[in-house]
Amino acid sequence: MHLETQLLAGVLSVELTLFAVAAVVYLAHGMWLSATRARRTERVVAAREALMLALAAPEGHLAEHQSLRALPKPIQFEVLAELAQSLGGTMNERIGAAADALGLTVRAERRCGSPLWWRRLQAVQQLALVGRGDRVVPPLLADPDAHVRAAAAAWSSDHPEPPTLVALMGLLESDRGSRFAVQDALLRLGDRAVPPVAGYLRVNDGEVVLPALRIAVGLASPTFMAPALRLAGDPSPRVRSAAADLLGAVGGEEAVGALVLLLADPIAPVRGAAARALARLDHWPAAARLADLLLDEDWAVRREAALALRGLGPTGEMLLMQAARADIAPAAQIARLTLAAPAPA
Amino acid sequence: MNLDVLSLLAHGLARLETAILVYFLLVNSFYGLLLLVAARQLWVYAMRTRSEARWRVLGSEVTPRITILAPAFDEANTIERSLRTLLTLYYPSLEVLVVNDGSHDGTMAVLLARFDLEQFQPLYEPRVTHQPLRAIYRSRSYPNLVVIDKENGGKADALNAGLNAATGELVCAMDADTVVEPDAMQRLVRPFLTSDDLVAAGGTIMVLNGTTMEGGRVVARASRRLLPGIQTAEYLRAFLFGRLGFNQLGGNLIVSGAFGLFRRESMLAIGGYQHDTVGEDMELVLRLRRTGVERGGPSRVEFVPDPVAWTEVPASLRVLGRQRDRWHRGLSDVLWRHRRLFFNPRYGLMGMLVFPYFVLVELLAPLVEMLGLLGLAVGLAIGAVDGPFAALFFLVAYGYGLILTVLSLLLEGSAFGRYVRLPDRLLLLGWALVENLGYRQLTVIWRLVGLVKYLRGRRDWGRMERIGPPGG
Repeated sequence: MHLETQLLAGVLSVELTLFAVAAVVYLAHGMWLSATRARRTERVVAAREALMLALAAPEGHLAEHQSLRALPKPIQFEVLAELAQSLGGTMNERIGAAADALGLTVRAERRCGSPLWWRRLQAVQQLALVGRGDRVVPPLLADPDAHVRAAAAAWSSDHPEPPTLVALMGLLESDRGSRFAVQDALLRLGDRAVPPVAGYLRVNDGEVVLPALRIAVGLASPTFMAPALRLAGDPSPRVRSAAADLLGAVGGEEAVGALVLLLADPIAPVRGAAARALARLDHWPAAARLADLLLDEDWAVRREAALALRGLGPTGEMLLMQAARADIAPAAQIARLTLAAPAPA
Repeated sequence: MNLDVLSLLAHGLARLETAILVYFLLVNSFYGLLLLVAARQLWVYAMRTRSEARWRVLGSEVTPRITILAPAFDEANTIERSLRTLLTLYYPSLEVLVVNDGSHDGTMAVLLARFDLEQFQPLYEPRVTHQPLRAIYRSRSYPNLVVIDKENGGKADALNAGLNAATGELVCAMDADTVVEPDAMQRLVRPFLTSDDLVAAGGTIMVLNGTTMEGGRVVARASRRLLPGIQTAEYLRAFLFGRLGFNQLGGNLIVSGAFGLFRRESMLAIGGYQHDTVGEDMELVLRLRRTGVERGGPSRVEFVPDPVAWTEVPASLRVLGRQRDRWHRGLSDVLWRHRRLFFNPRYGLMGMLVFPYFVLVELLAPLVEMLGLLGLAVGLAIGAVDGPFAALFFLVAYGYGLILTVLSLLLEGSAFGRYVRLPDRLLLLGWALVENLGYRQLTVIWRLVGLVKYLRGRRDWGRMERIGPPGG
């Protein structure tokens, strides 16, 4: 009995203490947050205005503005980054120069070597925003943390040095965690990304090439013709489908020939991709072959063929109308649906 | 003889109460573990996203297309405002697909009148079954808006109709009356950009009642009304440490039907939503995860803490009771359907920890709690338990829980700071205290009613009465 009462008193006092401490911290934190948010907003607004005035002036030295210097370093970065995202060219260079003058670049570059992943991550993100870090960021493409690698890949889209591009291609194949950032960076690089992507597609095959094929479709350069033709015969149906998409993006006689062959592929999504690609190329001589696919056993292939015919203009529409009037159920149904569907945007 | 029976009863009751006390100690300690794991996760998440450039997602050619599926049934009061919020979400490739599920209150008329709709026939293959369609419309004013008008078939049926017609690689299941923060999709899509093994991701649901709108955004305010106020604290606790903690401990089994993002192909591959359950959200997630494990495909579900959707919660006991009863019927049904997972090592942590937790805690806790409370009352009356034991029971069952709730409020405050004003924080603390004084016991009764109804075969939904978002 005595033990029970003691236990009760102990539990009660622990719970009361925990509750009181948590409640006081919660309330105090709220008050502190309210006060700092209001003060921070005022200071950020003042710094932002000063920065914009300095940018508007022909010879303004951004870093000399007291309102900017008075801010804590992370907020200085935030203010610079806000503007950097919506500026380009020389204006962006001035933002970078301001970051140099404020000591932000040196600080971030130093942090790129930190043993703590979150410091490295934040440093790369900050350097990307102010366009600095040529020396310290490329090695981080091999960082043990996927988020740091992704941030370094995003940084690369403004720094297309050949070794960086090679490292990006390596990440594309092996690293799911940073794949979005790598694909995005390569697409943003445009023509500068064509040689490494084409080089990669020339020597690799199998499903590892799928992310690179997706980028190649976005870049749509004739340089991709040879690897696309080769990959159209890949054993993997997913690769053949993606290669068909690429052939549709690149175009040309050779592409059309390969796509017509793919219309007879044993795997339905490959046939569908080939039909879609032929429509993209406006290749009306293939209309009769596409009309045959209106009888395909797979609904998605019939749909792609019908949409492709419609995309070919009068020739294709005539074939669709013939199919709609005919007495062969699957072809007639898809043709009617397609003719009733709204015109593609 | 009577004395023997009474002492035997007293002895048994004392044992039962001790066992229940240990049960609560274990359950609350597990919650404590979840809270610790969630706190660490939240810190890691904050570090990863602190300086991220989300404009890259907005301007990228490789950002996946998302279709928002918004089933609407008798939502005439709220549909226009909710839909306008959805149409202004900051996401580059977004389709909004509203499914009018045979509403009787003029929802379709509001949609036709306010969104400049024209009938059209999209070309898609119906891969999952649903009630017949009446018509499909697209908006002349909003090119990304599609409206499906169909015969009534329930929420799951409406979602299936939308799933067939959706064009997005990902679909976001959402209640039509949910108010989503403008950048929520950019945040919710994050885990899909970095992993292939993900089938679904869920965001945080917060309570809309009592909030205000400023510049098109919901500004968090703790409701001054009893029931919505308590539910505000309850939702913060459930989402922040419940779901976030499970990210590291075997993954979630629930993605809220009000706001969740799914891989469309995975949903179609398993036949979409089940029509014959009131727990269709949970059933879908469990089936997706289970099928993923069995077929060796993607099976992971992740909770993402910062995309927020605001939803109106019941403000009357009657509606709240129906909701909790339905939730518990849904839970019972889903757990029974997938009972094969219970302590099944084939399903890893999901089978060995998460599923058993849902059975032993989420499903059975109301039964245990009711037994404990009744046993305590009888035990005190016959002298089987004494005052200090009863007090200890309440401290372990409710006091411990209260501290966890306050700590989860603190976690929200330090990570996101949405409820920042002193009056709001005081209110939330007050609601966390009040929750234990009647509200929690009522939810126990409603959940038990749900369990009993499930055992007797009830499958209907019940109605939710809505007044619309603030300023609506």
